[in-house]
Amino acid sequence: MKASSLSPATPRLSLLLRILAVATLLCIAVNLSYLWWKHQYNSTALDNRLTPTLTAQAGDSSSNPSPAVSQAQQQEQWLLFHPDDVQARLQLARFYFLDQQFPDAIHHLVLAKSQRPHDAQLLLRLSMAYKENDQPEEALATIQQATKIAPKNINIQEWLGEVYLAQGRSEEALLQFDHCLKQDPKAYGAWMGKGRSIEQLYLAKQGVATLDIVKPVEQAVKIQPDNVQGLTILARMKFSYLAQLEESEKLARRAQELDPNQVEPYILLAQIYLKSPTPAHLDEAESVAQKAAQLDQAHPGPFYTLARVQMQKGKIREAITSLEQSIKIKPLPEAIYMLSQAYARTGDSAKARQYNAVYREWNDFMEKRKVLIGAFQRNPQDISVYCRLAELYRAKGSYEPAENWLRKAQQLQPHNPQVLQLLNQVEKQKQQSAGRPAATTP
Amino acid sequence: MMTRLSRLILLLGYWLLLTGCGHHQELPTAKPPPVPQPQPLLIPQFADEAARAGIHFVHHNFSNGHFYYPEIVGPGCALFDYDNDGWLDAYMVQAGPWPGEKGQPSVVNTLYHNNHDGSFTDVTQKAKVTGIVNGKKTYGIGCAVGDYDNDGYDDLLVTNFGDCILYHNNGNGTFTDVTSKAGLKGDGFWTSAVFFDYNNDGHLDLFICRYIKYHPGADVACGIAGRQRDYCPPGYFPPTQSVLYRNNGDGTFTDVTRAAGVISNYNKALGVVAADFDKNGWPDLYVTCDLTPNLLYINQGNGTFKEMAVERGVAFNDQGQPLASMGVDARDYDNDLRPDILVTNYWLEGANLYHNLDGELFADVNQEANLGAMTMKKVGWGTALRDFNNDTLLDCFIANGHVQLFPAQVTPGAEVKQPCQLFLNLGNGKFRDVSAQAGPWFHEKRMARGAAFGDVDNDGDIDVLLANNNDKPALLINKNGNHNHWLEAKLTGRKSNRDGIGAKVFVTVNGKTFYDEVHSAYSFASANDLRVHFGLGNADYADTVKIEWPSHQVDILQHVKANQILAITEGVGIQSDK
Repeated sequence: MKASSLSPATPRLSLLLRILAVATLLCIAVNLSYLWWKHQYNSTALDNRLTPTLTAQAGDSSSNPSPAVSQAQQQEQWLLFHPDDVQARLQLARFYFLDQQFPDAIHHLVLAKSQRPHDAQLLLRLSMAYKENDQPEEALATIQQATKIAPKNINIQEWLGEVYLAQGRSEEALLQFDHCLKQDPKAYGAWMGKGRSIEQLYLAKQGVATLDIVKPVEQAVKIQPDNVQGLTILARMKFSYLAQLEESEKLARRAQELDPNQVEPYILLAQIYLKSPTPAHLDEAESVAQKAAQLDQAHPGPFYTLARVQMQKGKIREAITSLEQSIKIKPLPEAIYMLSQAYARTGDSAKARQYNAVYREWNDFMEKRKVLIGAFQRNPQDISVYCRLAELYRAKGSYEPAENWLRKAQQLQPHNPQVLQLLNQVEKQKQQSAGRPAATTP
Repeated sequence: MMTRLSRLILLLGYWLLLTGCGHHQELPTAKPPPVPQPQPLLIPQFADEAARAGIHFVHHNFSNGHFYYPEIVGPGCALFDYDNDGWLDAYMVQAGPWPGEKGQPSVVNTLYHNNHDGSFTDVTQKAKVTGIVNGKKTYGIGCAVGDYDNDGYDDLLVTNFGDCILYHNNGNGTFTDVTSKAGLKGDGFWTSAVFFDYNNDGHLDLFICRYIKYHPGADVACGIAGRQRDYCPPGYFPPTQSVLYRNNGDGTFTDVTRAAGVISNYNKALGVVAADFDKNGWPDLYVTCDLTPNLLYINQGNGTFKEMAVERGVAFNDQGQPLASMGVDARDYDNDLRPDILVTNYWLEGANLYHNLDGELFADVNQEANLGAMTMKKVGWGTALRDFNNDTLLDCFIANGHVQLFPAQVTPGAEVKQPCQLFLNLGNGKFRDVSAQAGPWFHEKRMARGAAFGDVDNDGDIDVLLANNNDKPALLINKNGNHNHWLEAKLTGRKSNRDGIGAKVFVTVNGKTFYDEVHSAYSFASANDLRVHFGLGNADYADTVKIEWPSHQVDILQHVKANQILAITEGVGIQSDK
């Protein structure tokens, strides 16, 4: 059998790299993606028509509204009486977007779109808001509209690539970013997107060399050498894929110096130091992990990283506190596993068993799913695999994905009695569970 | 090199008192222990003497451009004394032609008899352990050794891609294929195996790792577009179930996998070691798996096991993720009298060193021990925690070699052939890489796989037989490990299984006690010297040697002079060291 273009291939290495790149550092990538596009959102031509009077105050939970929030409220009032003031509406939408209130941003952008249906920049923003609001199909349809209106606009073209990436359509994303680079070989976003597309292909076990992931990001950093996000992503890739610890440390340090308030370089530095845990490195790791946890108390990653360092230093009680904090924010599987280990080391076997059971269940599910997905990839015509996947999800009370697998099976064999019977059962269970909290599915 | 006669004379000078059922009588020590002196780190020097010794075996993986997965997994090898002459013989496992292949070289598994003078003689044809079944060479992967019928002669299991082969040692230099008669059946991609007595009935049972479901005809093409095709990663192939056979005591085995609870739903088993991790008198099993969680089957003492790798912290790395684990050993590296676990892994994963905290829980200390970082840029296979310089601390040897022919096209800097590594235990929980100073062999690069460990020349230090994929093996003779003192013992069970597998041996030197268990199956797909070996540092004798047999018999020897190979029989004591 001949290897096809971008044929399935990659070594076992993929797992560790998935661990490093996805499990722990995914939050960095996602965050950085958002930050980059936040920057783009701010700098698009559309804003030039407006005076940016509204500044998002994300994370401000004080009872007294900030000046920006007050302004936004005034803007809402203004729009009640002047619904056709598109500029005011766009300004408000931008505020909501930057404040990560995506449904509100979408609401105003959709209203603005009804007045300016051919405004490509507006469509770009709407697509961005859709994507951040986990509406990938809407994001794609909207940006595709925009590309038709403004085929030469590099930002719009890049965003189409980003939307493909978000949907896991790595090859299309790669093609799109290459298309952008043909238009503008110095397009920073396109180089970054290209690197991340190749990374996604790599993680999806496509035939990709790790160096090929890093090269485009290096190119992007050459174009914008002081871009903190670019430096951090490059540092992460060199750390994860090339094991270049010193080089990664340099890049992360530079990113941290350029913007000491960015949390990601600190997390990365901690991970780098943990790889060669001399006492001095452990102290460094603890220091930067603590800084990350101070800077970002809304994400689990910094606390988890801090816990890793504390475990290494034998500060088990402190690690438990950090892990509980991390899990409180969001239960990362690795944090749960580590917490079980930490409790075991303190002799609290009851809690160790409790967290172990959670982790084992999660891991069992993931491993079984992995086996079935592998079977599906090997033989997409095997209906029994679809049914087993559906059963696996159903057993977890996750009826939506169970139904999805059965629908796919139904497309292959519309009259298969096993599929129909299962589908019937899942639909019933789905209805019965409506209103109850959805099961947590990894 | 010590002759048998001189060892016998030495043995006769010492007392042995024995009693059964845990009651024992001890002799007072003859003189106060010497004050230990700090010693400079002795770096063992190894030299490859395979060619000089007459080991001319060459492994062929029969690669033919189809990139069949088994081509990159083996081979293993064995160091065992098949003729009971007191010297380790060598067995090399060979692959075989793929179905439909013609014109392949005529190659077989090869048994070399140790001539006691540093040379070996190929006795394969006489011994009839070629790996040929029904006129066709099987595709060999690894091997395991154990006297399953307690007749005093070690038998040989060969794991294959296909059916395994059980060779019964006839005791006259020949073997007989008894696979069918013994009831071992089942096609598969078998890798490592272990003979151990899980129910302590005195008969060795058998666990065989089965890796993945694989059929050459269904191979898929992997590789980077526009570059060289290469072997697929294991994720492309479904997992499968390993097998536990209970020895019926009449030359036959029964598959008790399900009944014993040795179930693995999604694991891809490559390596195995049996040890009593919780020291409750029942041997447990630790199984390394490829990109799936490693398994720890805790023996419940009632014929069943409970899988507890996650609970005990040995399934994953410290972040809860499974690695691509291959080789394994279980021994007490920090001399706290509990077996720890060493696992070798894939490129950029680094080895795991699971420190046994209390018999119930382990902590991965690979980073604290420096092993993680030093093994990061290697693909590790056969391995052992052995005291190569006899300084009383277990060191670490790792055989390395990539599984891809063109790894650099995926990961810059990755090499298909890699040097072996030797790490010396510094006694403070850390290891030091001394590969560069341990002899020119460590600069050589191979696609190493199995490694068997044992005292090949009976000079008191641990040598290594290395099985390389598609290449010649290496016989790494340790030239100076015996500059420190040592003690070895060959155990013979009476109530316990004849090999004494699972027996715990405690050696006390200068008031400090060291511990090991008798086991042959560790490393990767290989069988190792069944004699226990202890480095004694500069001590001239051991205060005591205590043996806890699987039958619960306890034997104690006192004031045992260093630098000898003891032959100890359960409930009898020191015997002739034949």
